[in-house]
Amino acid sequence: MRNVINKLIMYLRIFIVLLFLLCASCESFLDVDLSETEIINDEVFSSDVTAASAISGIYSDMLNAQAFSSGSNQSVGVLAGLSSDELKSYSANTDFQAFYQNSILPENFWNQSLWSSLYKTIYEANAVIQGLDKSLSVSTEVRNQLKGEALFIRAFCHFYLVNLFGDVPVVLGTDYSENSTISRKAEDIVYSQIIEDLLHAQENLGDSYATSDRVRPNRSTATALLARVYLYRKNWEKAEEESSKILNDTRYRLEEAGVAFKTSSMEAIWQLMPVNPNLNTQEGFYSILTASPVNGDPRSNALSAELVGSFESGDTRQINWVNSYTDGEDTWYYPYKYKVILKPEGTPVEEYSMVFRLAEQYLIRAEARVNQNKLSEGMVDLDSVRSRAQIALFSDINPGASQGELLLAIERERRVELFSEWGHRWFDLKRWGKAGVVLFPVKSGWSDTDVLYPIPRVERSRNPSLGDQNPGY
Amino acid sequence: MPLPRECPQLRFVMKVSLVYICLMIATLQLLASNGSGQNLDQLKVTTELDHESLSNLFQQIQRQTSLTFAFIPNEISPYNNITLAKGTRSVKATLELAFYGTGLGYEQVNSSVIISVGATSASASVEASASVIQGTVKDNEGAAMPGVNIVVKGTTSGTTTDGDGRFVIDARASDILVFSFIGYKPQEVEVGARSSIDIVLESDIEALKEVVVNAGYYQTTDKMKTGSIVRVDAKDIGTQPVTSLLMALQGRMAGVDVTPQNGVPGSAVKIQIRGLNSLRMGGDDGNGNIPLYIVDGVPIDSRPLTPVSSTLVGEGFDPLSTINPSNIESIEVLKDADATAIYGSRGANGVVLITTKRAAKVEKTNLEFGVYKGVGRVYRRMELLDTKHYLEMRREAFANDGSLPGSIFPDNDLLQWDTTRYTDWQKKLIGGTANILDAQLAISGGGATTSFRISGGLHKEGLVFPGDFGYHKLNGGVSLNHLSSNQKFKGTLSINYGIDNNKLFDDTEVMNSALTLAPNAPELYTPTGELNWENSTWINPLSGFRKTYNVVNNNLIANSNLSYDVIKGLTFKVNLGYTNLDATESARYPISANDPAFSAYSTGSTADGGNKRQSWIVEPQIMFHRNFNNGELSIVGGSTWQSSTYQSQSYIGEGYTSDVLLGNIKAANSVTFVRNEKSEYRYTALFGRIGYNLDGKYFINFTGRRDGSSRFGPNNRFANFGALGVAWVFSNENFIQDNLPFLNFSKIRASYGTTGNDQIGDYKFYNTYLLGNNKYQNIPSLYPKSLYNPNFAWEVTKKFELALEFSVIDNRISAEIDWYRNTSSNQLIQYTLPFTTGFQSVLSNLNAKVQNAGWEIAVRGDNIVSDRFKWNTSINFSLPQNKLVEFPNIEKSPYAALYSIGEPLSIVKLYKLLGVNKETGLYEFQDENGDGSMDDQDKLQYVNYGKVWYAGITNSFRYKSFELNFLIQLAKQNVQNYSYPWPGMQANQPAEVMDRWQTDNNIGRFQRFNQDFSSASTYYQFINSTGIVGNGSFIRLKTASFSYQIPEVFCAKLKLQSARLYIQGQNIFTITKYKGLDPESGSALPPLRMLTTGIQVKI
Repeated sequence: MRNVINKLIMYLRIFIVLLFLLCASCESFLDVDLSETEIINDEVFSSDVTAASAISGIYSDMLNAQAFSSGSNQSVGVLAGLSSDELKSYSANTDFQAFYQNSILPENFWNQSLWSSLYKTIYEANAVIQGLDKSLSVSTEVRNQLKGEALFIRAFCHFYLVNLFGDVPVVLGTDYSENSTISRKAEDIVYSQIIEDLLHAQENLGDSYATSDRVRPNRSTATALLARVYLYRKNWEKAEEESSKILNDTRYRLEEAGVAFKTSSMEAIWQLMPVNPNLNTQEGFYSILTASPVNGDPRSNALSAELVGSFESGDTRQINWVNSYTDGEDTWYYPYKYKVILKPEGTPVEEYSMVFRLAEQYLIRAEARVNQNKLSEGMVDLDSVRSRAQIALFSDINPGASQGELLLAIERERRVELFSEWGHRWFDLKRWGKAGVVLFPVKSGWSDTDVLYPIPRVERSRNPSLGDQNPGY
Repeated sequence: MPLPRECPQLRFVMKVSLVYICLMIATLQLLASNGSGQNLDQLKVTTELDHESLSNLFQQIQRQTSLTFAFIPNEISPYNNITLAKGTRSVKATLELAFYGTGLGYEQVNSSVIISVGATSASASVEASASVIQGTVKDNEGAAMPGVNIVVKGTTSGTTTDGDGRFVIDARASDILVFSFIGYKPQEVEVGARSSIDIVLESDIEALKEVVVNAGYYQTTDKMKTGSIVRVDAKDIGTQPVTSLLMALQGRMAGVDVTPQNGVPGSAVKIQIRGLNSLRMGGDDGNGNIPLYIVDGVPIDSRPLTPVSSTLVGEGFDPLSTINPSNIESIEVLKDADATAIYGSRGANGVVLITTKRAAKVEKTNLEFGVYKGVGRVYRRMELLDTKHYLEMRREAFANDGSLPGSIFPDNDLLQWDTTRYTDWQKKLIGGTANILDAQLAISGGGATTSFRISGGLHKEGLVFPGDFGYHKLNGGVSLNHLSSNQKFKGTLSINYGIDNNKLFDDTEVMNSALTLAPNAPELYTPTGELNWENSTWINPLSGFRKTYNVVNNNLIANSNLSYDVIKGLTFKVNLGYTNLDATESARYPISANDPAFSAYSTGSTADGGNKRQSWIVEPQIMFHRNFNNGELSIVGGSTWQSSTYQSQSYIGEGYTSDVLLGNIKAANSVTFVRNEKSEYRYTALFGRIGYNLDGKYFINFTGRRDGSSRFGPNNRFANFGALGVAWVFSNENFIQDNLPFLNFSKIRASYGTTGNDQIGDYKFYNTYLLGNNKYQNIPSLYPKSLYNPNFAWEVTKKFELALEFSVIDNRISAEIDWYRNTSSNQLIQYTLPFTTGFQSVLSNLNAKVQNAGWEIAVRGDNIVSDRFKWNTSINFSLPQNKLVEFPNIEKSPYAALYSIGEPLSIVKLYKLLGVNKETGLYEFQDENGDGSMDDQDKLQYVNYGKVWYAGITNSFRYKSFELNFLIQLAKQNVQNYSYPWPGMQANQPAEVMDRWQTDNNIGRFQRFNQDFSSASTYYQFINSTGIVGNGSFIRLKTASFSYQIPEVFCAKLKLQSARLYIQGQNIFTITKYKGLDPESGSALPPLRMLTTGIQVKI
């Protein structure tokens, strides 16, 4: 018996020693290599090249079909176009119809995707800002450029949020515990943050474009948005001042309507470069009709009769930027600023998605000047745009126009110049207080509370601090 | 040349020996107390003979003692085919046993043993102390029983019978021998004056209960277990025509809730053991409620395989689909802390142990063959509107809205399509018959040391959809057992390999089409046999069937177990495993699936990809087992080293201009990589279990495990888990036996302990960027992968269980009643976040507590037991109760709208539907806070969509050679009713919607028909209201089988060992008030009603 126990103890000892030997390597056994497709945050901001990739990620993401900025049916351009009097939806999708019928519910999926993609982009911008602030190894030049871009993007997103949803949370960091209980800020506060970010962006961004073409924001891009923001805030002087900076810059000039949206357009201040190898712009892919739009998803939108009827005859913009499809019985008009529907792989991209262009700056300055009673100067700016359209100059038609007449002319001009781009019409109607007057007669379901989209339902239930829903929902 | 029979030398030796024997008797006490090694009945040797000669035996003894043997070779040479079961016995007993029936005898002289014919065995002279008892053990049918345990009561000395049922043991006249064998009633026999005892062991009715239960790292029995383990064996699994073996468990186990997600073969099954522990309940968050699957000791990643493109399979593919149900020996499910704690961090949701069939120890070469064939159909259709009522609904909707068809939507059903047509789309699209064919073959055989089993199977199953779709699977298995001749080394190897091929179509719309397509929608085909597109006014539902989808799974599970008995009771063991799952998928979207009117603009596309999962495991273990006077100690200890790698890739090819080239990726206009994931998971652990039982009455087990997982950050990698289990078999107490004699067996057991859960993705604690698919200006793009939380740690589930087991009336009725309470805390969840954070969730530990408590009752009764007729019944019943116990600040969290303290996790918060407003014709809801608008604050109706209780009743009848088995499954539950598409829109509806508001004095249950947006809000509120809650309770005849065992006489004529014919049905009928297709799978393709017939033959 004793022998047995001794033997037993011996064997147990051996086993325990073996186990401990194995266990010495326990800790290191659990160190697994990170997957090749992932990169640790600190490494991203350890070199100029990878830091630039983080910015590239933002632009690629902005072109994701679900993003507010993609140019697809889910983008601001289309959805806000449907809400205003630009586009008509023939979609079988009730959530798209709801935008057209101004009967968006808080559950609406596309409304939610607008909100979520805007905040996702803000997060990415904030992550870049933080990464750069911590990093010691990114060169000063690159750091300033990238940080300027990220600040600009953050301002850009907040601008769309405040215009679509009214009071919104302002997100300036990446801490989720803070961001998940954040409350809505009054429009004024949102705007002052936008202005602050844009001023910083102007400081940081270089005057020239960081890479070839105009597909990464430069200082002029921040200026262009700042001019727009001042205009929306009725700060006419500043709006004039900022837009003048660009209008005085000889790198920018108006192009003929037929080539204004091409890759090499001199009118461009900032364009997004398509990333899908099969596509030119998503605007082209989604808006060019090749069949009846009735139930023709995804190509189920057409320009409204009101918009088509508002062009003056001979307007080269109508000739170049509006096209039609007919099935023999009916004819539908569609935006044709982007002319390429699909791109065979390997062929070069012909058009970039235009985000900021010079014509808007002319119209900003025109409106700013007229509002400061600088009528003739305003008229010159307006006529710059009209002359490109090859229609009669306003100074010829009505040289002694009153301030009111001029403002009305600018209003009409903005409509035909900027249609189907980035929700300009929807935002203009709202800021001029004309949404009800204009839309009530043409939209059956209109009520004045429709000027703000609802805060998505899930968002309110996930963050009770968001408080009340927008009125009317 | 033979030696002379009486050799003088020998005679001399014998004389001396006689003197010696006299001396020995005199000094016997002394010798015994000295522990002298020379006394033949004290000197123990371990011997084994397998058809070997006696001289081999002598050599074995000589090696272990200082004895030498003298014999005349001629005398012992005829005995060259002696078999002696392995055992440790006295030399005396060994020799008696070996010489049994030979006429040989022996004498001892000093350290020599002289063998001769007719010699007087020394035994006669030592009668006073202990005598050698020999005998045989047979069963009640007269067959010899090998391996029967024989113990001298009150001691540890004992032996086992050999292959012919023979035994030899040393015992005194006053000793009592206890004969025991699993499945037989133990027998006690007083030795008395006898030297030969022949025993007949009677089989125990309780035998079935007394099967060995696999508990993972160790084995136990129902009687001895201190934990909660349930078992289903081959008999109940094998013949069910199921593709997923987990489906075979449905309704058979208390506390184990198995729900099919749909009726498509190969899709993952939902299995939940004792309720939802984790708030991670599937979808993007991952599922934290899946049990651990172990196949033959090898853990299998239990997460469903996500398909590269969306298909009919919903949650994903079943990772166990390639395992052949008929190759399963048993499935054990471990539920409580005592049973699961040895799996530590992975045991929180229970453990499913799957054991495949092994080679039997010693048996003649056997060939088993089985085949079945059958059909399956959707057992129930919804009652939908016919054309007349449908058009009435549509026209009324327009009248209500004051508009005309075509003003918003094209309204083809009213304007373009033939309004006199009627098609039952359910019949057309899901009304087909699925054919099932299954064939299995297994060969097994071997000898005492090595045995094998080779099996193969084929399973084919069609689908109920029109077209050439279906599932087939081929699998093979090899199992080898080896036992060294000294019985110290044991090795097993099992390899299971399966290939399944699932041909489906990639269209999620088909079920939707079957239920909502207008009944007057056009013909499917034109008169010339082409797909009919009716002038581009509809999407032909058959076009979806042209989008083919194919997945091929190759699944290898290999396991080897090596063990070595170092000394008696001490075994070293190592468990080795390897798995390799490779799923290759391809989806094809041809141009011909599109309306040819648009073919100029449509191109074909393809999606290809796959999932790869590989893992290995090494588990060195040590086991110790020893009987003490009245007690039994067993210890298991070991460690685990596991590594798993996962890879998933997929890419899409777009812009094919011809269907002929579809799939040839070079012909694609562009190729995009959509998924490129790689991850590695490592896991290591130390575990141990110490069990002690005293007198077979008191049991105590302690289990502990220290786990490390690579899924946690460096500070939180390791955690400890443990459990204590105790049991008291009080029926073995004298006072119970005296006072409650009707209790044949009774036991109380309890356990308490902790288990964990690391079912989260890999690398979650890193703050990382992912490489995106697209480049911007040729610069690769990087995206933040997720929100970053480096500090999350293990979640812990504390489990407590109390159970009573008893059997009465000659063990004919036995029951087990369990009460458990599991509390999960430190919940590791994908904490839902508002979009303002940039993401929708972050992985973090939540200070919430979820409690699962419940009752489980299992009763088994042998209602009638006679030679000709047998009837037994098993009932299992589960009453689970799930509750969110704690959740600090829930009202400010994103979960405020989902959960409520004190309520189950499976609740939904709904508006209270008041009915239809008389004036407006719209639904009305209770505005709980009176603020005039309906939002989350008004959702105060909490409805539990979980199962309130569920049960299974199995009955088995046997009359002569006929056997009838059936299983009835019952459940009480609320479910979400079929969510009616907006009544009035262009979509078919359940017939009941005709009970609607028409005028202010004809209100009805449904709001007024409507096709514009004027009723949108109330419609959406309705599907979030109590109006959508349905009674999903059901009673289902889940399986029934009727079989006939062909009598032996016929079998013998056909040279068969046995043969059985059977007919089997699955989902035979269901009684339910549920309004949709099936109360378990909702509006997905329901599990089919199947009818199969088959035969099983053994040669």
